[in-house]
Amino acid sequence: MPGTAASIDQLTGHNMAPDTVPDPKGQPPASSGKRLLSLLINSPAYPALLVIAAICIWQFVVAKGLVPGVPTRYIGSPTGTWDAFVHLANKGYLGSSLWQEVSASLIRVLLGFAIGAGIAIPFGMAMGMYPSVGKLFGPIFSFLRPIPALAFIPVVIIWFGIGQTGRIFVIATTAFLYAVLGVLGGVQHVPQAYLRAARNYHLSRRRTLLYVVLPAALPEIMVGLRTGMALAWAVVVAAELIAAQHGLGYMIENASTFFEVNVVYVGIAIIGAIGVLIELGFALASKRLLHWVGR
Amino acid sequence: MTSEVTVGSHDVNAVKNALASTDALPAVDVSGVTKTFVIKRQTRPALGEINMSIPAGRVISIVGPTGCGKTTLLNIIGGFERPTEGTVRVRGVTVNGPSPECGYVFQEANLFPWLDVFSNVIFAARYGHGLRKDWSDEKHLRAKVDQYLENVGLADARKLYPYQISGGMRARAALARVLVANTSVLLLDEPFSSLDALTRAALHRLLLGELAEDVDRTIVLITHDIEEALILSHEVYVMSPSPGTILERYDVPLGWPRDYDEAVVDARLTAQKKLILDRLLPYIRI
Repeated sequence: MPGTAASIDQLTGHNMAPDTVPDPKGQPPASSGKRLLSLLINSPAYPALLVIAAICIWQFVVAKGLVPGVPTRYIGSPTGTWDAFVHLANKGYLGSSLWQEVSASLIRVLLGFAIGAGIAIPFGMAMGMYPSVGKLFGPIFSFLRPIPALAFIPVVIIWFGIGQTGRIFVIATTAFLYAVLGVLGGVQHVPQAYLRAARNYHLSRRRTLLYVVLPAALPEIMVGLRTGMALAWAVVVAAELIAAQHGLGYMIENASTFFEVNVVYVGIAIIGAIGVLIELGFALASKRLLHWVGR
Repeated sequence: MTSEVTVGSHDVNAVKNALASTDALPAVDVSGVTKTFVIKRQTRPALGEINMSIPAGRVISIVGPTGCGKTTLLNIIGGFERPTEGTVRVRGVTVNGPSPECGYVFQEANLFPWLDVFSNVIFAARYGHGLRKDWSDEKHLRAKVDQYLENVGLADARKLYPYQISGGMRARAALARVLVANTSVLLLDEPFSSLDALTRAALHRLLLGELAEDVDRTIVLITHDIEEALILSHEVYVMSPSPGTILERYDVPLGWPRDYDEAVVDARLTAQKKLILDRLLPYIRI
């Protein structure tokens, strides 16, 4: 997936490579080793090369049995992981297809995120528009936010039992707590000039919110949603510890109890890959929606 | 004047009633207005006592040195700030917050960066509340916006975003936006001060052309450019430095509607510019 990582950088403008490619004439004379290194880390293919190198080293270490005292089957290997992936893709996991596991997790995350973000947007806007609402709820959210989702799971099981509701609740709460921060910040940072314009045109409160505050706050709202989504996806594994029957988290958990370490790696890799795709989606949406930001 | 005002508050109602009966009233009446700011427990007078009476349909300019309180005065007229003492009436109604009678053009063109030029220009008229509408429906309004964009030379830029056009074009768009909203009073806070001299001259000519066809609009223009004040207005008020007071009021000795190309070379205007400069220069410390 390193190729995709590079394109995210280009989309978000984080990739400084074109500006920092060393100009042999403009730079003080460096040793050829240094120049090679600088060329390497500035190359767009660098992330891909890094991953390939890591895989090669891993394979080498495992093949040579260089880790003392640990059986190879507990460490897993790149080829073993690939074999596990091919097997899972063809035969599925414990009678259900790999796609079923992936979609179970995806649906949970998307549903939980939709609920969390759907509440966070109006709630964050209310907190930003009415300082008393912000003061009332701000400290509660600040208290809850740093608590890991894992810590809530026993309580959630007590409240909701071991069904789907509890899992979605955990994801939605996480998405909400982070998205609301972005929405609140966005609303608080709406430039006075825009609010003044809205007052000058005698916009109703509803129209001010909808046509001035919301678009002006959108850049920070998008950051909040992006963080909320990333964390919602991250807690899916924790959420699926609640007696899930399907899902990538369930697959990882289940495989680990049987020491199927390569299956665990496949699960982790798929979670990472989907995370990158989600980021890419947000980057694309931001580019389209927020083309005006900072210009 | 057909007014299909959507009544949404008591304020609007009051404005409407006042409109019906009081054509003779001054459009803007500033009486005994003072403003004192309190900064870090120290009171700092910004405006001395200001009295102004601006008849409907007049264009007046307020010139004065930087920091004399011109913008504060305009903010008080526009209802964005409260006077410490005194009252402002717009068309007979005491100002108690931003009034739909007043359209404001700010120092920076202040367009919404997320809307293209057309959407920015139509914004105030489409979503604003309590405006005196001179359009019947959305289609009519869109045609009106297109007409104004044509007038200010932005017909080809209607789909562009503010960051894609020049400062002069942004100023023209801001002007079109407030003209479309059709408020009876226009408050212009140094709308051209960030533009280069040539663009500014082109905008003066444009504005005079627009105003020639629009005789019942009252305009208060804040500027530190004496020539701009003289070319664009019926009367020029000269303010002293902080605390700002009105030093003098001059009638501009040129007719109305006014032709820009004649005004700009008129000797009477040059003479009056000298007069105003002499009045102000003793206050300017460099």
